[in-house]
Amino acid sequence: MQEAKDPWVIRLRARDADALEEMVRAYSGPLRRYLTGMVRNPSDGEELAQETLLRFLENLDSFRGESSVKTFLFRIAHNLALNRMTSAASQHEVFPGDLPEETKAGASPQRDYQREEAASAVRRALALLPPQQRSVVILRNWEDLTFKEIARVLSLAEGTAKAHYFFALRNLRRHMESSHEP
Amino acid sequence: MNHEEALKAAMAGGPLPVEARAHMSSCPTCAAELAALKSTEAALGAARPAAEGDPAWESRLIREISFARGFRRASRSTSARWLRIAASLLLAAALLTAWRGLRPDTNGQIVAGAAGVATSAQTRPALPDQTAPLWTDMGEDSTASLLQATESFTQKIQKEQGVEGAEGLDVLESGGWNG
Repeated sequence: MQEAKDPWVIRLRARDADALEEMVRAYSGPLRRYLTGMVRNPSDGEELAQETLLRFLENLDSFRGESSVKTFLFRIAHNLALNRMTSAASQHEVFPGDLPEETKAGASPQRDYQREEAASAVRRALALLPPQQRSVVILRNWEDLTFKEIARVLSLAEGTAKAHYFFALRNLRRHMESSHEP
Repeated sequence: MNHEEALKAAMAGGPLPVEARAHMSSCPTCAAELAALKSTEAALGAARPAAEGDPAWESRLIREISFARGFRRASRSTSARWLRIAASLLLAAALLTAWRGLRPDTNGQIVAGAAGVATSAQTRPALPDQTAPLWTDMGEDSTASLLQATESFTQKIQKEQGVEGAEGLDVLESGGWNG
């Protein structure tokens, strides 16, 4: 059996609190952003990010280092998001489209408003995409994963991940255009 | 290569294959579609929410996960381990000193401390001259003061580490530092 040689994983297995802190500081933000983008609810995003980290630590002994820690974490996060979306759909819940905004210092209030309007339009369109396509565009554009990494996270062939991305962008553009029509 | 294949290849990242490039340069519809897709991609990037989150939330996460999964501070435990090693070495040095203070001289007589040294100076001619000052310094008084120095050194380190007595060491060793 292949053993994970990542020093970070070794330290986490030894229950080193410093390693845990480094992991939380490095990944909790991106996980929360991805999960909030998927489930469209910031508090659910936070809760699922915590659950992702706990599941990762729970399964640390079975982590063999075939994929990176990042890919492994996003894979857990993706499965948790799908479960949550399935259960939310069964309960007919409707999530608001609020996401934490990335702050950019130095912009004027008017520019801030315009930028926020444009960002909101994109996020509304994003929410209309099927989960698989939404996941691909978020992982690619917001989390900077390669198509190879995305394919691992979503258990797809790399070519399929690329195709999802293309169709996702096309659908996103259509949704954005239709939202501008009177 | 058809329109869709050319567009997929163009949006897949990396260098554009020769066939796709040739298609794009000869097909205005695909060129326009590619420009629109690139613009959508840019808008998506601009709408990216902040990843750097709330430090209070992160700290809470660290605390809760540490507690749930039994993590502890390696650096604190290491400090405690070194503290114990230092104390053990000093204690060993003190015991060695005490033993040397009581060892028999060349005539089989026990030399016990400074008083013994003072009364039996004539019974130790076999010792080299340069050892005499060391020998005379190794009496009971100096052993006691070395032990005292050991104790105060240990207390000083414990104070620096924020550890109160032996109970503090037990807390460190039993993984009490989860926060």
